[in-house]
Amino acid sequence: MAGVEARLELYARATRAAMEQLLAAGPPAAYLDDLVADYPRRSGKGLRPALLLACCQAHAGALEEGLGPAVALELLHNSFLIHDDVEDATPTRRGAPALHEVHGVGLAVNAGDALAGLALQPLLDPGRLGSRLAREVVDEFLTMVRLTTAGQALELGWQRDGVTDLATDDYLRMVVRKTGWYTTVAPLRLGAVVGARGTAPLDALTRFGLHLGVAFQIRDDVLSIAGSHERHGKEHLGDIREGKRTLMLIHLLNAAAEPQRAEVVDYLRAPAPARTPAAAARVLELMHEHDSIMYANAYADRMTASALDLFDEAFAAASRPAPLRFIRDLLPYVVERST
Amino acid sequence: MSAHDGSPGESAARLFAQLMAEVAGREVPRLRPDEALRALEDAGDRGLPAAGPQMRAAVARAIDLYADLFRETFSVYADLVDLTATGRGGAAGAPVSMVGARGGEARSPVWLHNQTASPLSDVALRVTDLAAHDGALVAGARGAFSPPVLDIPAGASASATLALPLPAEATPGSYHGLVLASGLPSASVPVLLVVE
Repeated sequence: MAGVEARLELYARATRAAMEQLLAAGPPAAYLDDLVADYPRRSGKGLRPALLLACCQAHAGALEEGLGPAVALELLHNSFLIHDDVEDATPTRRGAPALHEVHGVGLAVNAGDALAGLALQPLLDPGRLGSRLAREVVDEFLTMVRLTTAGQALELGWQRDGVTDLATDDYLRMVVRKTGWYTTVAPLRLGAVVGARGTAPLDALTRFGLHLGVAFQIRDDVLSIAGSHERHGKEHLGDIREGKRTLMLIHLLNAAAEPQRAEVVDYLRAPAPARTPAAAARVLELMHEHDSIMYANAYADRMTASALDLFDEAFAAASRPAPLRFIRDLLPYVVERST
Repeated sequence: MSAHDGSPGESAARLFAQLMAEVAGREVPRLRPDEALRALEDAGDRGLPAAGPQMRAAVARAIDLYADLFRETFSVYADLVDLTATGRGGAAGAPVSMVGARGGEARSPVWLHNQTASPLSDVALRVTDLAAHDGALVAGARGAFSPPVLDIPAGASASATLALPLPAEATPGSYHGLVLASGLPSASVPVLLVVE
């Protein structure tokens, strides 16, 4: 695992250095520059740019060619996070107060807009990629944005309308769009497109990424309620308090009999202030009682196993062993961050 | 639901395939100027001789067009043909859309555009089985194209009509499949069939 972490850190450092160049460019803007740079400077794992750069290398591409899309992806991810925190009223992000908690909703949303615009800048440099490939890369980004916002809309809509009649398939439909595509599929596809200059087949790679993305998100959801707040920077019981339709919650809604199910439905349909820490803890207690967390972990295990089965086919066109090994070793690292 | 029930892998694989078909079938809409935009073009200026900046813009536009033409022609990974369709209505991302009643028949034209400099001959089309979200199938083998094979001169287009009989016992709903062309392994087009 140490080798994976070391290489992940190298990819992250290269991405951060390039991001800093972008963040430092341009005329200064009051009430904006510090906010725009805030989330990118709160050190995340840099999973997305690492996947992109490693996949680019594995397909015999140059790191310099993958750097622009990697930076764009990371900046766009951070702009999503700013808006996501406002939409979900999340108080903390990566162990510190969320941007809107510090600066107010208006300035935070504006900074998210600016960051999304800044993310497009590296894509405007077709010098390395050429116009054909640059257009393909932009197309990948457009697909990603469309799917991500569609998935987010689905979850926010369920929360607003108090939708509780949901099954595992509904969760899958939502989560592959909301996070799966842009966390794993888009980085892998972008890396392959750039590395192989548009000649690599993408279907098997996409299937691999979808399985991995779902496994990653389920583990992330489990962490939100069962992980260490200090280690992972997540608010304790945050997803339950926000009423997020996680796989664990959907399992509980299907597994619990009355009157427990009604108790959970009432909780989800209550206004946000009524979803107190004590009420959220009661939902967690019911999840434990009905093995919902165990179910989610088992589901993530099966998704990971399927991803591993698909690995060779997904990377049939890749030729460089070191980055390929990194991606393979990254699988258990990504989905077992709970320790 | 329990940790040990069913086969989440199969269900997930079906959902993932649907999403991939949706993404593969997406098209960027071409914006068409409406009357308001045309009214903003100052007709009185049209007859004036082109000044330097206008001439430069015209030359740049021509260079862009030729660059696109060059790219389209010689792109190393481009499909030999571009399959498109003119089906009725249909959902976004599904170039061939067909609607039919149980026990009846769904029909749609399928167009092939040969963008290469070589003629294509004896191209046979076929449609795969069409699958619904719950795994229900409409057999593609029942479908027939008229004419059954196409010859398409270089730079020209041709069409065939797909006729698909629908089983009387088919469940109403949306079904997804692909049209494939013989001798063109990288060409495919998604099909959305709505059974009423």
